[in-house]
Amino acid sequence: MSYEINDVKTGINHAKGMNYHAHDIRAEMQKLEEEGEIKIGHIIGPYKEEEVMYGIKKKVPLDMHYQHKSCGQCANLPGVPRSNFYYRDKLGIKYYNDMQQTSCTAWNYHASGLGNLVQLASVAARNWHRAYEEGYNFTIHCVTSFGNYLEMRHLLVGNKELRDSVKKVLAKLGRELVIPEEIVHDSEIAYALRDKILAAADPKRLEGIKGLRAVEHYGCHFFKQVSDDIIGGKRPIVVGGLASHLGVQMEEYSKWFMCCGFGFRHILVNREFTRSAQNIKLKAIKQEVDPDMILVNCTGCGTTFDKTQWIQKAVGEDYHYPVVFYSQLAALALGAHPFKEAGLNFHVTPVEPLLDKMGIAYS
Amino acid sequence: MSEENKNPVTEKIESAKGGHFYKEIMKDFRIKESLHGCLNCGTCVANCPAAAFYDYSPREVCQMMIEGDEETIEEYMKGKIWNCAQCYSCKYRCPKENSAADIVMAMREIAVREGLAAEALAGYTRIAKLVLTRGNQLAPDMLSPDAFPDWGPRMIELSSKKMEMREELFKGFPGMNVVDRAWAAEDYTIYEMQKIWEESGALEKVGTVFPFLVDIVQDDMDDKKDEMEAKIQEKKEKLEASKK
Repeated sequence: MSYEINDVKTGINHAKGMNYHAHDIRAEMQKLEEEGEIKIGHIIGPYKEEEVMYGIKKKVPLDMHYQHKSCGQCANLPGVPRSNFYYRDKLGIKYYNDMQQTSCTAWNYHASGLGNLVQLASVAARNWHRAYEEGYNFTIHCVTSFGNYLEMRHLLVGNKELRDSVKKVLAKLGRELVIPEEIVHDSEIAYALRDKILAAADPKRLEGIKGLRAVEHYGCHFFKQVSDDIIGGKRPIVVGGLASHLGVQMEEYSKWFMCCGFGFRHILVNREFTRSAQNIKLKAIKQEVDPDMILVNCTGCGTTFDKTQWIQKAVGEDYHYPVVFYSQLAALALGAHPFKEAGLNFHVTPVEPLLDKMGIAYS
Repeated sequence: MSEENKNPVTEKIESAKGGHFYKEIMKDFRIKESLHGCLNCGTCVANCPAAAFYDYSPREVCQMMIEGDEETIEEYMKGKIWNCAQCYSCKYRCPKENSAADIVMAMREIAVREGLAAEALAGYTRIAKLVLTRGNQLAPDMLSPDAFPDWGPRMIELSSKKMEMREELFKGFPGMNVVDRAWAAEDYTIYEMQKIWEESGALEKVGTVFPFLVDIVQDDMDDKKDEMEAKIQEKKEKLEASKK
């Protein structure tokens, strides 16, 4: 079964009439800015508007990208940040890889309960302020960070007590509360740049990509934690949208919605849960599609899918689906070396059969 | 969300019920956004990966809070809350837009604060230490094959070659080829992070589970305090000047 990506662009009406959900955060931010309560880090340079829930337009910045990195990617799947830099270099987009940023600490928070909301929101605001003082648009590599920053924006805008506590902490650092106009994940940017990526792509690479069959999996914190600011509506479309634009045949499977089993703490201390959840996902993928690759945009999910296939031999299963991030696919299309520039050799589920099929040499 | 918005569901419960844990949980302002009444429809359970494998139910989480059922709340506080995968599938699917995941998060914070999390956080020391001393949550060095034997033979190969592989990958990207942290966050940045934890009361909370970590962080901060506070002072003056 294959599908056109626009078929899943869902118009959501179920929350109409529930006024506690249907709010426009951008209008509330503007009001707070007018009252002098917050500053907004307005978009710098060109942007493209993409539609999120309720038909609200999200401005996706197309240049001057502050690269808020993912600690999980940098440590474990370093080909992903490298690919994020690569596609920007190829398209002539200016970016800033800042060493004065910290992790968002949301993985720690959700896994352990260590920390508190003032700490979590202050860490977010300090990182936002770094982008603001350097004159860049804040953009995010990690889905855990993305969900966390959407939530922190929501809580800071909606709760004066939290806002005041965070302002007090920031003042002790010589910083102020500047909330970015848009909270944007890197996969949303790559999707907004899909025409440019296609136009700059190597025709030979596109030939190899054309007709590959793939399924997509989105991190839960990409679209379930705060679900009204996601391009495409209630179900995300950016990974499959970019891939199908480049010629990949996207396939549907019944367990697309299910969590990968990462679980924040489970991947560390309860991996029997992670492996069991993975087996359900992978079984559906194998029986219903048997694709060439699994496309992802989330650090935790990419790790879980990549690292948990081998052990499924213990329950008599043989899975071998290369796990590829949206930006690694974009980098490959733009001519990147699969290992030296896209870092696919850091993945433990072998990617070589996929590269052979794409006609890409590696060593 | 408007600040003046009142939630009749939580307000009614607050006035009528509760034991110690219930009252502590209700103090978290997120609860007002997380409970809007429950149909008992079970949609959350059907979508919950934790409910598929553990004695854990997001429906029960919402119900126990609506009922103010202290006995069940205590059961969750003392163990079941750690089964939740924090995937928010319950929140996404709930027709009333309840969020058991957010309620669990508030409960986990209280469990740590009240000294109930020691067992759940056993094996978590390295992450906590990294967050508080490096400004990152993960480092390539932590992904050793002996810690993750189930990740397969390629992990062993990767582990032995990671230095040279990373050097090749990050040629021309300073600060990225490190193995004891995710990227080379500057000392000043780490100090700012530590100060946030201290000022927000989060560091004190860490002390309930990992008291030695608080000493490590405070020693680290003391060692560089004069230099870092001078930098912060410069920053404060610059910010004040920009406001004039």
